[in-house]
Amino acid sequence: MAEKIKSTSVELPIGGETKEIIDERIKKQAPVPKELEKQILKVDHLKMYFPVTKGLLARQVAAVKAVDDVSFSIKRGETLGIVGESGSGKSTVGNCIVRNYNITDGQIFYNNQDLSKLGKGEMRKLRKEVQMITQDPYASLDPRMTISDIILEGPRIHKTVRGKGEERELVGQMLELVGLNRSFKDRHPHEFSGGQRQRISIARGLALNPAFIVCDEVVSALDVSIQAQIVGLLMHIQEELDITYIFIGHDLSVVRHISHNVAVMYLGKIMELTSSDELYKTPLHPYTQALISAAPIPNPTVDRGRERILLKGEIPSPINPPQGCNFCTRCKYADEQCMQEEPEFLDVGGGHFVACHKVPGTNMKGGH
Amino acid sequence: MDELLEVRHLKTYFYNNGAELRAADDLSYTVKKGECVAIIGESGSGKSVSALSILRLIPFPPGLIMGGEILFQGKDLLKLSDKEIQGIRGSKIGMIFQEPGTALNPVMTIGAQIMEPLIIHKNLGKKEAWAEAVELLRRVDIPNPEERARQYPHQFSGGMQQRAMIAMAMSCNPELLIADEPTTALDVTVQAQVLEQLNRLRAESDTALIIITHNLGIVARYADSVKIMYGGKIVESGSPVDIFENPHHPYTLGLIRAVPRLDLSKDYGLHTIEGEPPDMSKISPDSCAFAKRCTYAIERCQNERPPLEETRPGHFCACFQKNETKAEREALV
Repeated sequence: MAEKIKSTSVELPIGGETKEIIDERIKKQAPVPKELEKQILKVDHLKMYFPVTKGLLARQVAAVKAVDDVSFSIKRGETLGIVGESGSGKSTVGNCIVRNYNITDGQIFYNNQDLSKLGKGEMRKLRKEVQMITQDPYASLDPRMTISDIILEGPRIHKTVRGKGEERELVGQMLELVGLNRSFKDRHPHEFSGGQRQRISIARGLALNPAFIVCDEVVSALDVSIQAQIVGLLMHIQEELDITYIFIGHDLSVVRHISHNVAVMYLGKIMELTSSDELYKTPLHPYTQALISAAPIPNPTVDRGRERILLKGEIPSPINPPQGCNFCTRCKYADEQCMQEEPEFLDVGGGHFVACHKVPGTNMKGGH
Repeated sequence: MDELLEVRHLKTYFYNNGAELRAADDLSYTVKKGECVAIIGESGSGKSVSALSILRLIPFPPGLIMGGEILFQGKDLLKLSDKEIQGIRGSKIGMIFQEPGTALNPVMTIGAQIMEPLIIHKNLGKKEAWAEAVELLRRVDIPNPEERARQYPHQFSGGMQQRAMIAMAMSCNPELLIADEPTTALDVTVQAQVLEQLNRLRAESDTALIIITHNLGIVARYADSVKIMYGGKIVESGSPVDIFENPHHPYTLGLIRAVPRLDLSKDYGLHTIEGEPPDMSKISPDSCAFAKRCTYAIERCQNERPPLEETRPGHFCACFQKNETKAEREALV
């Protein structure tokens, strides 16, 4: 098994009974070959372009470069945070991984298997193992289904449960795991608050015993106190079940809190990728620096003493991204080179990746 | 500083299927001239109602202002006729809403919308009002304001729409500006731009600002005074330093500890407030609304409403157990 992550101070309503359930579930998971143990997902030069069509014949006139040449990898049991503003392509990356889109170019390896080369049966297996939890707990739960039917939808399709008894047991286990009462199973989504609905979404995501979950803005719609509960729950589940997450969000402080590594995206590209502590301590990319400065810290003494970097303008259209570096239109360091040449995404040491001509260590390499 | 606005014992209730919901339950606060007051609360805490009541924008039915006084420059706004309050809305008190996309009129040009209050309240002619509208757009840093004024809201991005809203709200040089979650719908870097701009304009014209938000960070950055609301009541109020570094109320403490901090190591951990925000129609007026989720609660909290008491000059807290939170408070970073 992969290394254990550090525990947090969050206390969860999980009793001794659930602990046994979890142990049992871990036993059920297929053993992982040694060489694959570490790296669960590898994304290589991923591109996702959406066609812009015009006229009756839907002639393609342009392409929205939602994700443009993105590479990263994730270790088993870890969390990669993807942070970015609207239009940065962060959610598209998540959707590409769960194969909601047919990618334009590049490769995605899951457990060293190229996803684009999978047959139908293997794809079905993958869909069971890779789950997605989405932002809006109001829109993502069918209002006419009971909680029990919502949680069982996946297991029924994949035939992982048989008979009423097994079904009841699974629903009960899942509800308990996410801190809800077992008796909620016959209720409908409208009877629950936003935080409870998000717990139901998580229960549904866990019902197929996945190894990998894409969490797309799962706490963005929630109140501050509920947000902390859900983040705590996700971290606790990861520790118990050894699940790998991609955690997508726009709030850098939340993303950093849950993630081991954080990728900062801007206009379809990853600008910087490093460990979450390193990202705050030594942000290298001017965009990351601006993002950190724009996020106020809820402590007046600390916050009022910080340097403020205010960006000019807004994120350009992904149909027509600027030449050279995508960030050059808003960057105070940008010069000739930045407007002509696209910076390479390079490791400046210790797994700290950055795509910027102005960062020492990348400038020289960027030349050839 | 002079008191510009004084809200006294405001009671705004909503009635739904016979149930009474006390969205603002005996609220009192003051706003001084040029001051920035932040009202913080989670959804359903009554924070928006507390500010919408000032402009009497509470829809009836189901909402009704049941009692209290709202003194603005010495006049009770609740006693004015509809016509008189219309003369104040948009001229002496400006308003900025959360979603500029829905607050702006989609079939009117931005310029025409900014002109409206100028023509109504300042009696400007059409030409003068147009010139003024363009100038206002320039002041909020909209590029090519002449051209932009002729465009419609859908041609503006979210950040620009909100800046146009600010231009509109500031058009008649109001004494007081009420901003209801002004940047919640915006991206982080755009949020920083808009807030910085709002704060600059406000400081230039010495306008007071009531900012309603759930974002603790922006409060720490801009507010002069902070009110924390829970269950329709103010549970704690004071300066940002009082609230963030020396909070007394268990809810304030929990809220501050529930927000991940960028400047701290991840090992610091997140604190969780158990349970869900209360169903407001089921809270007894004679109890502390937070009692059910509170780890410090004693029997008295269920049977008696704690009064807002001064703990030190300017810092108020409504909690019977406020002295018991000392250890947690001192452990704050």
